[in-house]
Amino acid sequence: MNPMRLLHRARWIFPAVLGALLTVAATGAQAQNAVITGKVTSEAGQPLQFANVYITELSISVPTNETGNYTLVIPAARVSGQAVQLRSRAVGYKPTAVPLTIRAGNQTFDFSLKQDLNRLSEIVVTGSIEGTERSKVPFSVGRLTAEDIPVPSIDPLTALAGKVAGMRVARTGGKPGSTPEILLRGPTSLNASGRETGPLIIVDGAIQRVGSLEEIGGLDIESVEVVKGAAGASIYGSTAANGVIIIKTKRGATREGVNVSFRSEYGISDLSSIDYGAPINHHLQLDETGTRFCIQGSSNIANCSRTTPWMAEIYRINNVNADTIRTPYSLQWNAPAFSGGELLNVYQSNVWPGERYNSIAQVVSRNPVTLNQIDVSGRSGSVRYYVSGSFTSEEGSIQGLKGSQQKRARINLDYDVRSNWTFSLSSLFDRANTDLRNGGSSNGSIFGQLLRGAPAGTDYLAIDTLGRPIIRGGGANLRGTGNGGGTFLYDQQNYFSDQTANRYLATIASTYTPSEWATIEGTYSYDNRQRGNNSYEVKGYRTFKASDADNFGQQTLSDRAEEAMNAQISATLRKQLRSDLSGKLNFRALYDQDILTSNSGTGEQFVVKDVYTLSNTKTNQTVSSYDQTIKNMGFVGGANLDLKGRYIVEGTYRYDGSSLFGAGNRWAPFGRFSGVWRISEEPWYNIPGLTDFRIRSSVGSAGNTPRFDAQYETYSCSTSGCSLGQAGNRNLKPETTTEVDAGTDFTLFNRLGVEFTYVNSSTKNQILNVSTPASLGFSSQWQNAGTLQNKTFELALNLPLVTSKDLQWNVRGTYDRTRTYITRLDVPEYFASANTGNGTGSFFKITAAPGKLDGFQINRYGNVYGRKFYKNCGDMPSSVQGQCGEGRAYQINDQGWVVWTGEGNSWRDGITKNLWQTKLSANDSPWNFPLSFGHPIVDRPLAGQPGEKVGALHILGNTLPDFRFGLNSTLTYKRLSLYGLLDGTIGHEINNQGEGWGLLDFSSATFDQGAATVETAKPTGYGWRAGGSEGAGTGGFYDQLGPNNYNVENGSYAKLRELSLSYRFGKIGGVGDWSASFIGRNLLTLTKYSGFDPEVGVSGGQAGSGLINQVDAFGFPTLRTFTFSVSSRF
Amino acid sequence: MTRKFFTGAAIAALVGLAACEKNLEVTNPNSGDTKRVLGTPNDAEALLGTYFKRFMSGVYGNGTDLEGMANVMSLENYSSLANNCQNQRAPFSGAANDNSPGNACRGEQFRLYSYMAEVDRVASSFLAQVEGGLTLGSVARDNRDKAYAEFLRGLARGYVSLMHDSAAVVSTATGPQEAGDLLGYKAVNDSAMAAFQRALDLTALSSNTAEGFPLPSDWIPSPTGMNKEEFSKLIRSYRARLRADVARTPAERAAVSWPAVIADVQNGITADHLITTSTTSGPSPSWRNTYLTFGLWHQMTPFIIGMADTSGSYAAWIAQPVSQRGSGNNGFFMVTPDQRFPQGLTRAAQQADFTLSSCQTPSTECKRYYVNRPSGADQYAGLGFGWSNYDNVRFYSWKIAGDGTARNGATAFITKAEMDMLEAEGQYRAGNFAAAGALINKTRVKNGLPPITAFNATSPVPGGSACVPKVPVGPNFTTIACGNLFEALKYEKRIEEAYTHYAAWYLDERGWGDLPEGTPLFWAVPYQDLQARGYTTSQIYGAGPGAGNAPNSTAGKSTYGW
Repeated sequence: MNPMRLLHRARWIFPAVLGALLTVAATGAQAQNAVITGKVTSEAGQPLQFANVYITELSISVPTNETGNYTLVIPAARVSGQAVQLRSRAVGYKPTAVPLTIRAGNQTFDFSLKQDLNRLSEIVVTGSIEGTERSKVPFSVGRLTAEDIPVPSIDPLTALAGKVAGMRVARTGGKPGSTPEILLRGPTSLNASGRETGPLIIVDGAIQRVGSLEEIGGLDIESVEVVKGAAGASIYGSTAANGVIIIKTKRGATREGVNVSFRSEYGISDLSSIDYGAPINHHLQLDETGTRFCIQGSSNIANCSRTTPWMAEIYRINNVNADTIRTPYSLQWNAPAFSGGELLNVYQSNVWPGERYNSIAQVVSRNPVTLNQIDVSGRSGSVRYYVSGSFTSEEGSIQGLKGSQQKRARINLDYDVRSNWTFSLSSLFDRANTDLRNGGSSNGSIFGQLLRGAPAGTDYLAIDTLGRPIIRGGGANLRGTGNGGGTFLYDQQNYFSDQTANRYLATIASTYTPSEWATIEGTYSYDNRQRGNNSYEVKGYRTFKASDADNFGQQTLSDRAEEAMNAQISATLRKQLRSDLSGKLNFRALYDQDILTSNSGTGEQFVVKDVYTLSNTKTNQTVSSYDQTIKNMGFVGGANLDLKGRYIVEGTYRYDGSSLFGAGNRWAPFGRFSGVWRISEEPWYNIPGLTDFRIRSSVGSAGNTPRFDAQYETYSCSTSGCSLGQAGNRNLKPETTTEVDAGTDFTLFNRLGVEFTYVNSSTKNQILNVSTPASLGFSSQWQNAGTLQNKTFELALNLPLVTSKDLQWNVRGTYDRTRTYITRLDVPEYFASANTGNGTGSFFKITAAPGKLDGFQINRYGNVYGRKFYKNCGDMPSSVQGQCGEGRAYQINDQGWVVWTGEGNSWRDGITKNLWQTKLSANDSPWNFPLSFGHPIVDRPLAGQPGEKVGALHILGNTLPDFRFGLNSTLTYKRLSLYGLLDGTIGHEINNQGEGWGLLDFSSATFDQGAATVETAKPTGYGWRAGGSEGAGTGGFYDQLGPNNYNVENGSYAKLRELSLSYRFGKIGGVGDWSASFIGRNLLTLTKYSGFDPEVGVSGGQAGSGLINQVDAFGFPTLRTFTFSVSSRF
Repeated sequence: MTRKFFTGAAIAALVGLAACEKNLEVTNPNSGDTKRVLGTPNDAEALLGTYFKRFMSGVYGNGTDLEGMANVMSLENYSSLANNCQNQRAPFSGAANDNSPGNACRGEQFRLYSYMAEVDRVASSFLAQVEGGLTLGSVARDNRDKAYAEFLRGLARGYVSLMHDSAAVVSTATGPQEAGDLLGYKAVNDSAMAAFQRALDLTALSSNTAEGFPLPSDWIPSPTGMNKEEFSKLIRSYRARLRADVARTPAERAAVSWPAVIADVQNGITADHLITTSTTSGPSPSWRNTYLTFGLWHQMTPFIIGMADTSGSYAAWIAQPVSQRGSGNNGFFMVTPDQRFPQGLTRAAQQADFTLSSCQTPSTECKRYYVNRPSGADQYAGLGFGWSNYDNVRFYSWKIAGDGTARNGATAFITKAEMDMLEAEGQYRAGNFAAAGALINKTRVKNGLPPITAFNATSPVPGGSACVPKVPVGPNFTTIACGNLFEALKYEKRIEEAYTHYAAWYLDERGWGDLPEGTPLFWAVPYQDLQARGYTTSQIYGAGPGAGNAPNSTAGKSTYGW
């Protein structure tokens, strides 16, 4: 059938199916039964709730209640005195079984389960040809269940942070509604622009090509499985090189009846700190009273003949009954000459007179966080159901911004048509409203404006005489330099930008087992997301200068429709080949299709105020549209052999076709071969204290597809005509990752579970945007041209410290270390940006060159390139080192930088000897470049050497961490439980661009000189640029925001990411199973990083991820939350 | 049974694959490709018709270009800003043209080269399409469009030959995936001249009918309607400029075919060639706008404009070593009879003589070319020799048209004066001093300078102590004297063509030997192209370097001693 017709039909298929299932659910029967009762406890005697007691032969199972008790009812029709195995299992415990003869009447069986520290008895579905006991899975799989996530998050993946070795999850922007970024092990693409860097995510069988993860809902999660690389993910083919995450949502109970649960969490979120270290000193000249600022003179008026209090000037320029403001006076610097850009005799040393304000404190607020959910689950006859509804709201921490709200409903149904045929429906509807504003004036980043251009003397809560928030609180004419000057609260009343997204996701699945040796499964998923954005400035919007577009208002409307479907059918064949050898075969065919359509329109100058339609605008009306369709299909075959339950080998082969591949390479193969040896199951094995010992290894391949437009020849057409874009490439192939995953799992003394994995992967055929010879006309072409390698070690530990009946204390730890290298590059080395518009154009160097530079392996991916200031005499060229040291021409100052002083001087003499404006001329400089007294010196080639006068590039660090760790602990005493999670990312560098901007705008407290002495005081040029004649790119800490060893900082941190204290009340008034919790998230960050938050990054760009683009460019910091939750079950 | 199952499955898989292959073909609906863009006569014309604007965008459309560097290197402009590598190319710095991968000027050094290659390719593809059977509907129209395409090829090849030492030239037979070999700049320039000739020949074969000329008005947006005669004049004027300006050295300039230049000028434009700019539909020259902005982008160094001084300021300035010129942060003030400069004996008088308000009406030509900046607008940044009180504001009325930033309207990109001076140079080099002098006198007299009457190579220009221009005198070049006929020619050409076209002073000065010593004479093939061709950036093409300056690729000591 035409896939498009399928997509459209899906809209009525689901309601029909739902109705049919509910009808069937009403039918049921009661008769004489066999009733099995009992209790499931741990070895320590602790009752285990939610343990499963089941009879495989009858496909019957029930969970235990809060006291560990269970009741298994077998309908009379199925009671025939047959011999079966009664089994019990629980998460974290080894399953056990007892023989049972089924007969009418009551029987009692109790179970005492041993702890399964490595959870080897869990069934894992990801990556294998069929759900498989974890002990027989030949590659590393991270698996978490709802019990492992005591502190839920709005989305299902943020909650995984710190819990799975090799998995890095972070919200690099803390703005409500933002999606977390995920990196499994290491990056696999050198140029991921327009593509995903995160893993393939599948929710209840639906491949997530659409929408945002937070729409899935964190409280509906039953389990999450993480396969971190190609060795395990081969079965998912051309879109799985970054790993695969399989999310299963909760489903109906297996026993009759209705269970109602609710959970209500309410609290507040805020910034972890409002003390950024904004400067309290300024460089402006005051009058003799020290209270008023001097206004610059002109040809007829002397400097400082006019003065003004700071806020009086702010009021003067803002109090205008018009859409614009008055021109600010230019204030006089505290030194006579700024001409020539020389900043060598001006000091940021005057304390702001009068009242000072913490601008951050003025605009942030503690806003509510809400996570409410109610669900109903149960079984009625042959139908199991799980229905939930939830409301989540996260307003963020900025006054006036609304944050993000989500209303969500889920219906999951399972219908046992027959004992060997099940039919399932998983469906979700989510409606999300998100405030897209960035909080700053003109929709700029509020954090950029707060930290760059907010003078300490400005009251940002000030209201002008017409009752309006002020619109200018500083800026260029009020300060000799400095950007910004805009205010924050005005926009929140006069600029609006909202997004509404409706998402409908549903999966129908059916499993048919005609005999023990065959299972046939089919799945069809449909995912639809409609998103509308509306942004407008009101008519009458105020600006610094007259602007028709702004003052008369403007509007942008856009919509985006995403529609995806995927379907697969598979057959699994099993055969007992010998008494001790079993085999499986699996065949699978898959198809998925994604359609994206977007349209947008803009208009300026509203005709009528407060009417927000584009037809109400008069000028500059524009429209644009975009449309893309992606089709993928695959065929999979797999085989599995299990000999004696100890030797398991498995192989898969997948052949994928994609519309994203070039027409000449439309298909690509992937595959895996793997094995497990369960050594401790050997009869000869007898190592006391070392149990559950197994080794595993897997070699597999998976791919990354090109971006949609990569294969096509393109022209760019606009109103000014067409121009050539990129050359097409009909031979474009997917990137292919081949990965070796080897490891071992064991338990030491029944006390410590250990999982260790070593991984080596190479991603060949890197899809790079390569420059073409100019004479082709097309400027570039996407080509397969390189190899990226990751080497990873992963370790997971599980240590139950105390396991008594009343007291349990369990500690889990993870550690991972990945190094990423470019091992082959078929194009010339090149620089790549970190996807900020400022100063980071040459942030990364893409090179496969061997050797080391500055102590770093040159071909290591993530190396940050920038300028280096000398920090010790040994950094200097050997020919100059002899002149470096106390009493010599070059000395190390109090901040640890090598500076030029001239012989006979000290770095302390700048003011006392009036040396700050002296220079070493280019002719006298070893670098043929002038140096300013007392200023840090950029490393550059010596005179006469190639590239002289230009600062040399050094490797300043690497944005990918040396290692990561996670440590979580659960301490339970009777009904009281304390849980905490600490996770750390260690040994990576961040470009603190915020500090760079601060230097430019004198908004960095680092260079406040109020406490400095005449010996240690530094002029403004020290932090900004070493002098007007020394241009950008050649010196100065600011240096046009380029990375250097001043602003590239160690970003290591450890976060107390989750903390909860819970008490389980049990029944209250004989009703429910009540619990209450105090929950904290992101409560404490341990770091030496000087910015707001080290968990930062800029998403997108070539690296494709904020976890790689480690630039602190005024993103929203991660918020801290304090909440209280109440939950119960009925 | 098993065998049947697997056989059936294999057959089904093969059938499925065959069906799937077709299903996986998806068209990109968001962008055209060559097949579609050149697929019909209308679409092909629509593409071709935008490529003069594309050419203009490559040459003038962005500050990220060589022009900013070239204008600083030639003393036409001075800026201490690092933006667009201006300060890195400050004269007397000896800064090489770094062509190393990822160098700070990579964008600037690639723009002209890449845009011109694109224009050449599109024009060639269009011509290949016509050769392949595409007809625009009539012979006249075919010839018109082919002439326009050849004109574009001439422009593209000509401009790249001005600045870069080598480039590729594509023909109609060059396949879409073939890059073509790199040719030296002289060969590239020759191919430009040939393309212009074909354009002229094809224009002659067309007609001023509905199917032929004039060109559609948006192909070359200009107040001048481009009938076949006007179009031919424009071709010849461009050809005159590009034929002369390609010379790297005085020897090469002397070897230019000046009779051909004279012939083109005499059959070229008869008035300033204006382009109607538009910030929305192009062309939109960013640099010109930048040069009309008071700020650190735009300072006038006295090296050349000082030649107009009659007050003694220039003499005193020249007496100083270069490194000390302008020190003291006082700017440079001069008095001159040249009416293109503000008149008056004091700064206040000059400020009163001419203010920008006099040319703030759109399309109103400014009274003077230069203004003595208002108080408070002085820009004293960077090296002292770059400081003066003056700014070139000749096209200020264009800049402030509309809302003050619109930059929409007609403005000159080839002046008649530039053409006259090209002819004058040709006549001078041919020994026809009187003919040269007559042309030089056109703008001299118009602007208040006494006409030259002694038509020879040595006599000083008239005016005595108030003569214009005054030039440094060797061997020490610390004193000045009245210039001769050729100096008068150079002075007139500089003042008249300043900021009117791409790297105007740079291109002339390297041929006249007037560039400061050590100034690079051209740019290498950008490393981006070398790398794409599989070459190392140290490989040298034409006469130029891959990285840094090759021997003999920089200017020697200039005519004026700097």
